[in-house]
Amino acid sequence: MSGFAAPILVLGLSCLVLFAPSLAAGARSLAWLSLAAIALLHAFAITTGSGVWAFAAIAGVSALRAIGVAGSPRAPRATAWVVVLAAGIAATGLAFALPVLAFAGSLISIMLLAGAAPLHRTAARVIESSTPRMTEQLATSIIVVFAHIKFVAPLEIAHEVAPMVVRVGAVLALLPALTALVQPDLRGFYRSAIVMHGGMLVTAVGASGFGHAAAALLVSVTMSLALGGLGVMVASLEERAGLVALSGRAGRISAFPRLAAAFLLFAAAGVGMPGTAGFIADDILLHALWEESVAGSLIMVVASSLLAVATLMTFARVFLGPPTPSLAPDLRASERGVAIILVVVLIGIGVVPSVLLDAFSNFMIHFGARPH
Amino acid sequence: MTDFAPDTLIRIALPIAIAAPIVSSVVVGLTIVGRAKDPGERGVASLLEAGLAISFLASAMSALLVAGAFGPATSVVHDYGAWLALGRYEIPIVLLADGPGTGFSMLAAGLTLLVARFSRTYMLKEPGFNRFFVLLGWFASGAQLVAFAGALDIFFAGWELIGISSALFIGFFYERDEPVRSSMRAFATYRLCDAGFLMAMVSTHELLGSTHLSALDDSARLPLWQSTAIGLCFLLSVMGKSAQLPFSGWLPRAMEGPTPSSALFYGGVSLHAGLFLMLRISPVVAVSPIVQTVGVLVGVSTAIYASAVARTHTDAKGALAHATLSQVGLILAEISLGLTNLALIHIACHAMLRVWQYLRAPSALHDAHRTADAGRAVPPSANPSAAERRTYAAALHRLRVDDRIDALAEPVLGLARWIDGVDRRFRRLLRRDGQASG
Repeated sequence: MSGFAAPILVLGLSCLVLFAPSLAAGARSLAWLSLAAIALLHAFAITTGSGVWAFAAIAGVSALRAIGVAGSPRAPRATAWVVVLAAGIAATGLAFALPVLAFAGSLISIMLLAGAAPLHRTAARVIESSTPRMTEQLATSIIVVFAHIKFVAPLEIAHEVAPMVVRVGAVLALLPALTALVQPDLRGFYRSAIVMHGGMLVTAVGASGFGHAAAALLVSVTMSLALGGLGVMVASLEERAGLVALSGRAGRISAFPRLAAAFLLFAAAGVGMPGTAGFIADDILLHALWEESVAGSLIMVVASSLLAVATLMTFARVFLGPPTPSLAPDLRASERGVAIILVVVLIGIGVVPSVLLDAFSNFMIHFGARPH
Repeated sequence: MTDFAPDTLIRIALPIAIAAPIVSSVVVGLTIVGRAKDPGERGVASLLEAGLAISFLASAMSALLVAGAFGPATSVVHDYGAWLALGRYEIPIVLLADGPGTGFSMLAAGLTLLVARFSRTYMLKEPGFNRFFVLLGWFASGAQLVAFAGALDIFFAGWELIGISSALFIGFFYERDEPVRSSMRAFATYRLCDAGFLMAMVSTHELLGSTHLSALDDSARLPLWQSTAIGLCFLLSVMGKSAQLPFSGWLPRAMEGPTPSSALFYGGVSLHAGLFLMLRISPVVAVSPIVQTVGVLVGVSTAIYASAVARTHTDAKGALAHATLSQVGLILAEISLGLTNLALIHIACHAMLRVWQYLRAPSALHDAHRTADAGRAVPPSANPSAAERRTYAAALHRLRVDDRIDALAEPVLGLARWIDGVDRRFRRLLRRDGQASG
């Protein structure tokens, strides 16, 4: 029984992230239909016992997303089709017992969805087109990581390439953490934060190859909740203030105190503030990384510190300074509700991480995962 | 009867000492958010003071129990299970109630309570009164976590809470640019130096098998280079938190915060928290001559630098900050030399004196007039030597330490801009309309 708690938890958390932007924005009924279909495919991908079907469902999710964004600029649709292709490759690899193909397809799907460099162009285009859509995409990244852990990480190839993947992931996290310091606008900062966490996720997925599956899942869940929430807040702010430049101090905290507080909490969770899920995720990832590469863990620590500095700098530029009056309202009730739910979950996992991690561990034992 | 055994009492008292302030902070926060009507400054202050008082009482109770006031002295390590357990990795919830821990806890809890009481009047009608008290609760819990932590993970959680609340207090008057810039500088210093703590924590777990503080007792069995590396990583973190050279630049800028928070953080607890970490890791320091030497060199050079700068500072809080720093440097040297008991006494006496001096700082001019000291400035030398002039100029410009640090940061930012430029060009190449986002 305990082996089945993890899929339910993962599905619940991914649904939370998936529906958050639409709940916050009060979306139209058509959007709900599309999201419900995606959630159903998520559920299928998580519960199926076949890796082929799981990745086929993930490809289906991206295909739905490509159709759902019809009418929007071309690139996000092309982006979604690239994910369909990568997930299709993973499914094909699993179907024909081609482990290299399965691993490559799965890892590329994760990198595309989470926005890891050098495949971050796709995520950058999604963020440029619509920040909330990136949040929805992060929900799917949890599902792909789950499928990867269940069907791909046990393959020998995952174990063999794990040392290289964790090292590369650490470097992929460092570079965007550096660029986060010099972004001229809020979207640029958000993109850098996404790409940095994408690198972290690649490291975590690599670590799952030598038994740190629960760490990989926790990193993906935390990333989706924290950066998904941050994306909702960025969208809310841009709805009120237009594109937000990071020059000088804009002093918006007096006009939008709740938005500022929520922004700070999501950003702080993303950089590992104690008491939030981010702290636990960072801690576990560092320990997992150390086993394979001491230099990798040092790089990850530096990357995390740089992003933390960039985050506070961004917050200061966007919200602090001489008060700027605004006629726009602070967070609406729907936005406030979404922010509160996401923050409560982030803090809940941070304070009682064993609820999630025990479920993950039991699930791994149930499926005979590689021990570490 | 066993329910009231000292061991049981202390197992209850320790979590209460840690949790009471942050719980009262949360209650205040929820009261403000949840009620249409503001609970009022008096209500907010009373709620927080109640939490701080409970924390202080629990801390005092722990100290008495550890000292054996109610029977035989109780056990020192209290294990509350695992915060999380994953394979062979776990974050243990272990609290350590020994002499230094209870001493530092009482010092922190007592000073925080006094400063809260002082602030009730001092901060009255000040915009941000509620925020001040909410942050005070965070800080108090962080300080108690640091005092009672029996494992490095728990210590780090408290350490971070102190760092975050410190940065938020420095930027308290966020409408002005200078406090925000100072807050950024302090936070950046903390966070980058804390990379040392994280590395030391992970390496302790991997090399000594556990993050329990007691595991550090086995550091003698590690090869010297490993124990030295762990010690130097910890020392880096201490240097950031305790503003030791070359990371002293943020301290005078931190005086932009409200006076009570300056007193508590930079006179009382936060600056000394770094030294408390040094006390906790003293087994690692003891086995590595390199760590000892670096600790003494950093401490003594900071003490000389700070006492020179304090003599040229023209504002009361800035001069006091450097005077504090000179003593902190000496305490670091004491710990590095293995004089841990002396250092503990020095920390306690120094913290209490400085808190009092900081709280009196706004009245410094008034005090000087009253004691007729205002006209008795030390006359300058008629013919200062070239060495004296150079020393004076160097102290006046704080050895240009900040400029040198900024000069080091510039190439990093340059590299970041270059990478960002390359990234934009890369993304532009892949677009038909030739524009990169962001």
